Amino acid sequence: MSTPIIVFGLGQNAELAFYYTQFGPQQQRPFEVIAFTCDREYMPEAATFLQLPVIPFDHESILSFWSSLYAETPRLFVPISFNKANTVRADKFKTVKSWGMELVTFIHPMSSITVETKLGENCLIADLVAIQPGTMIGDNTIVRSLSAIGSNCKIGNHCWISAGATLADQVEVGDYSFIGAGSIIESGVSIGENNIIGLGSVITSNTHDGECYLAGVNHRAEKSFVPHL
Amino acid sequence: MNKPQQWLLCVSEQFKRKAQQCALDAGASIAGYVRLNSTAPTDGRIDFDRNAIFDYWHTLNTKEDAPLIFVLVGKADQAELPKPLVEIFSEWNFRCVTFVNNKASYNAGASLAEGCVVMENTSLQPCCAIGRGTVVMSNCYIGHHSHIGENVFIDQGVSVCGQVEIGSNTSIGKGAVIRDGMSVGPNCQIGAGAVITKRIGAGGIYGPGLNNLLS
Repeated sequence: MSTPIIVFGLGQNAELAFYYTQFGPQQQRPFEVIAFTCDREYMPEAATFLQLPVIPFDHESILSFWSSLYAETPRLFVPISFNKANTVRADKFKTVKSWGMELVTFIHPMSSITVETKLGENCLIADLVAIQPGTMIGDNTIVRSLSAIGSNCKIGNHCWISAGATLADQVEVGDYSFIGAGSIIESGVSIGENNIIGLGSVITSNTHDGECYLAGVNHRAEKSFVPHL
Repeated sequence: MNKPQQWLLCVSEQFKRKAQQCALDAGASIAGYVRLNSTAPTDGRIDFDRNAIFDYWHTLNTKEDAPLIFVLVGKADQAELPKPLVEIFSEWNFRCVTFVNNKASYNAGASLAEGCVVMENTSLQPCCAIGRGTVVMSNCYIGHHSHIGENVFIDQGVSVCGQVEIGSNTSIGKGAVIRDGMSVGPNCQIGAGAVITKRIGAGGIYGPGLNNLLS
């Protein structure tokens, strides 16, 4: 029996999460999306998205929609993008927590995760991700497809690990950090908080908080290079 | 319907073992091999000719079924042909196999056209669309809302991030990365290890490294 959830967002990331939950035969799916939610100013006119209802993102609307269907506390999933260095997602995460609602963690059935891996709330582990034993991943962290995370890594809260990133063993990643597609982090390296590791970077030494790196080996750059983050 | 599918293989020499494995994974039996060109070895192979293939196929199947062909050719063999192979076969009214390995992650919302071949451990993200005759080798990532043209060859370990447009007849080498929102024109050659972070036009040749235009 699939667990019902409400997904935050009407963008491509919400759409992705919706399709991820539909992977595989129906009776084996861990979650079933029953509705979407978004901020009131973004409400579509028809109040539907992918043929599912859209509810305004406020405590009363979600509670009244959910309690008309189920007795337990509402369950939400906030798989939105890394905008403003993951702070947009972090804000929504904290709002949902302050309402006392539950946030779910979704692990794609095609990923390989050992039982010794600890995951926080509201994480998304996409398909074909491999996570080795002893790794801890904080709350609200999104790991996209084909990433490889070695053993005994510590990934902080509100991080974003893009597709195809490789983290060797014992890597630490600080809160709110962004790791770009195809980047490689050498084993034992710790990435500070609020870092932006661009697409195709190779990082072989520790980084400080708030730094930015672009493609190349330890190629440091100013954050103004990536204004959209 | 319980009869296993029969495939004719029309594959490059280097992909012969791979194609046999694909047939095994799909539960299909191999009905025969088609020669790619007149210089290819003849040992028991069917000539690359419409009537020859039809005649061979109809000794095994009923007249109503069009021949079902599994196509997997490398860029070098494709270059010797006047047209993309899948296009030739469809002009002859043959069917081409659309194959996704069962170890690939074929998400809901992704769409594949006829004659696509997708190998193991490749991730097809939701809402991506792949054109006719495109080959995606193992360990690739095809991002969400990406559109891949026809007869594109994507080698192992390529990452195509989200919302990328790739033109027809382009080939992408091992381990290349294409940034989200970018586009690659038709007939390009992206070498192994290339990192593309801008929009590139038709016919460019790129080497390893960041936007490394060779000619």
